[in-house]
Amino acid sequence: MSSFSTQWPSDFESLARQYWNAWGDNLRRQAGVGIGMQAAPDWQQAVQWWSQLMPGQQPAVTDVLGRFNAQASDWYGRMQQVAAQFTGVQGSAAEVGEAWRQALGANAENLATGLFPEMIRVMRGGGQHAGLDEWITQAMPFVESLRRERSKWLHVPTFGLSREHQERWQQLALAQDEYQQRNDAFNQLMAKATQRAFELFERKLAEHEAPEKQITSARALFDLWIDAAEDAYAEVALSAEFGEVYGELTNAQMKLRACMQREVEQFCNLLGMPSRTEVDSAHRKIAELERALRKATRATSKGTPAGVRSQPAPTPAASAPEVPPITPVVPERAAPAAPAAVAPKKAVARKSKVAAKAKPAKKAVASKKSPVRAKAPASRKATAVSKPVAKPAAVKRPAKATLRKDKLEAKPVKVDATRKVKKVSASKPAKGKPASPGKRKSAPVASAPANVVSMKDWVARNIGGRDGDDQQKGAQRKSRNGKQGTRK
Amino acid sequence: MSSPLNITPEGLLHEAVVMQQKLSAGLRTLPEVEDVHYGATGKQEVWRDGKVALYRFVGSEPPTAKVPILIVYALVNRPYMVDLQDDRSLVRRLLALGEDVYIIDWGYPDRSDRFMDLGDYINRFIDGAVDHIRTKHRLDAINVLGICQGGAFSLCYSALHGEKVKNLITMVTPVDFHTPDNMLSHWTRGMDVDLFVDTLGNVPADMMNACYLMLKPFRLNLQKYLGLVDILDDGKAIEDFLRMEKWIFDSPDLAGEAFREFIKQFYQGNGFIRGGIEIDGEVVDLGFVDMPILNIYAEQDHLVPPDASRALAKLAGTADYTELSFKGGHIGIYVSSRAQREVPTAIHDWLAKRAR
Repeated sequence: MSSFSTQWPSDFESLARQYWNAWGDNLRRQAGVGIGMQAAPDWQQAVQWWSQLMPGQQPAVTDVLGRFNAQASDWYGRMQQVAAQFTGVQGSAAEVGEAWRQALGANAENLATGLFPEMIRVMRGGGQHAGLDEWITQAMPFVESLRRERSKWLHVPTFGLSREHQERWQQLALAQDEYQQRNDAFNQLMAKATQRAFELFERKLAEHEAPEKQITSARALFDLWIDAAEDAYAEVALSAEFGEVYGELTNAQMKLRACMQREVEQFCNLLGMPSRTEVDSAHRKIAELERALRKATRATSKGTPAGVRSQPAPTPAASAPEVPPITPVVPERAAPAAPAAVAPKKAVARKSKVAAKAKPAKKAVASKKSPVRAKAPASRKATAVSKPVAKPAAVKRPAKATLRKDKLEAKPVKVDATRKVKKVSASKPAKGKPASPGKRKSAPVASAPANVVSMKDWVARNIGGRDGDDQQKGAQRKSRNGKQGTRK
Repeated sequence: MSSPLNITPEGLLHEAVVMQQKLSAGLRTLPEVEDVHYGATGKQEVWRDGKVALYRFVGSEPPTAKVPILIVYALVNRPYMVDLQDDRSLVRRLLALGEDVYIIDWGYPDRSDRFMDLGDYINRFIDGAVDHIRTKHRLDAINVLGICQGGAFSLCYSALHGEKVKNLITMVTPVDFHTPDNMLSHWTRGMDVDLFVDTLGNVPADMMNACYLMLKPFRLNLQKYLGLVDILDDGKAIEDFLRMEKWIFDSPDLAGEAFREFIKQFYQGNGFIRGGIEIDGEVVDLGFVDMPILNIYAEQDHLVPPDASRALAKLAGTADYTELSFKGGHIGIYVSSRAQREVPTAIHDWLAKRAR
């Protein structure tokens, strides 16, 4: 045993020393006759002492230790017990597996309520979502009071002044029933996963029976169990049955929650308090008003880059260190090509690219996709035909070739299975995209008024503003997908 | 008869003693752990729209790259994963290589954001950030790096506003949501998403976190915390562990309408493959993603299986498509030491070849 620093609390040190010394003596006595440990050290107790001796610390530390104590510590302690049972004993894989099953208290009767469901319940132990179970538990007396004669009344039509309320209560009781059923189905599935985990654990143990592969520590045994449990869980979690059961459980949970929320709203209404429905309604109106305002503002703003969304840089965030403002060194850019001359080419380029995409080779790929996608190229191609296009392409991107000085050589993509970027496409990067007029009426940074060739053109681009952009965009949407898109 | 176990009393005692020493060391190290901070790199807020902010990272040297990178992260976690700490920072390494890096911070949605939809995130926030950067740098197009769900958003954005994206990098980005090994997607198929969102409003972060933990319940709830004992004698390792814990559980709620649309159109509808993704009424077709693409995926990713990412190869309309596989998992691709060595360099080298 190594020496301990005197700065550590002597309580824990002395306790631990006595504890481990006693256990060590016991082990040494047992080792002589090869009998497995019957009384393994209480790991849980050691951790408990340790936790109690831990002085106050940061919340983050407390949080993590809580998770450690709540779950990992307990499971590992049990595995230590199992490992101790087999010290100096030749136990088979089946015997070790059975010992682990016993340690977890898992049997056919309690598989549906032990292990996996318990672990998942503890895992969801914190936070708003996990509180749903506790919340439902607390609401249960109220719900139960509605269920007392449920077989008789839950499906009976409601009458009279309070019919709406009765109907609501019926729905709540039925929702609770359904939730319980779905939860039971989910737990049954978890029981299957538990059973499968034990099977896989035994199988993995059997793989370690060769002398050079034997497990030599409790930790390694625990890690093997984790592997088995995860494999079993993954088998179940990826099954069609799980997808169905999980979806139904989620839906049942939401239905019950919605019913409970309705009751809370009723109560709030009685007390004259604002309800969730009212607040949501107000938020929806605000959101819609904001969208309409932004749209209107964009339509009327003139020359401001990005319209109203551009805001002066506020003072630097408090968390950032003080640094001098950065002035990017951006060389003067050459005057771009006339936007009017460029824009049609780019629009054509896009359509020509699409036309190129609609060639048989690409169509073969498109045919594998849904009919919706297959339609689009045809409509785009049909539209492209009506406009002057670049020469039909023997290469993939004819229109881009006309725009760029360097020809793009499309080469097959090689997937790089190693760390390095092995093969970069041989296509030379574009020299730079031509100045784009941008879709917004706010002028692109690089364009200059001198490039506007006519007042009509300038008005259409700037004063027509957002409406003009919307029309252009609408036209583009139409040309892309063959139908008019709708804005919310 | 041979046994799978060869545990000697001395071995078991030694194991117990080592563990006891670790616990004892924990009594010393744990109280010394200070409040866990994250973020290794200074940043400046340069643009904001409501709760959504655009930050520009500040390196020790001015950037040399002409075209900046905008990082678009997922909604389900906080974006500081890409700049978690000094020795685990994708951002820091990119800055050191001369890149100019921006990031969108989605903030923490509350009930008033319940009705924000994908159009808001893509056409309002991402487009607003992109326009700001374009204006600031006097560029027509910038580089976009989309991560996970942020990669899906980036693909949509690139399909709708391709002229503003010079080069696109996607990391661990799902494209095909219906691969056989996609557990999350499998679980959503039977969900009534409308009932779900109508009941909950915003989707609570705790619920999402519980769902992720259920993907690998034993490893993530048991084995991981037992591993904590192994590092109780290492103060720095404890801090690193706690910092990761903070990131894992420091999750925002998800705006209800955006969640509804994303689950329906992507997880359930598999819209990139089958079609049917509409953002603000406009159909998203990956055939319009015609800028150079670097698609990075993780080989042991249980959240976004490799095949889910690699489906992009057949759908993107670009002739300049490159794939890069990374030996690691969904989180390891940002924080492992291998990732620090490989990923930023690969991104930088790829962009450098397409800088003109």
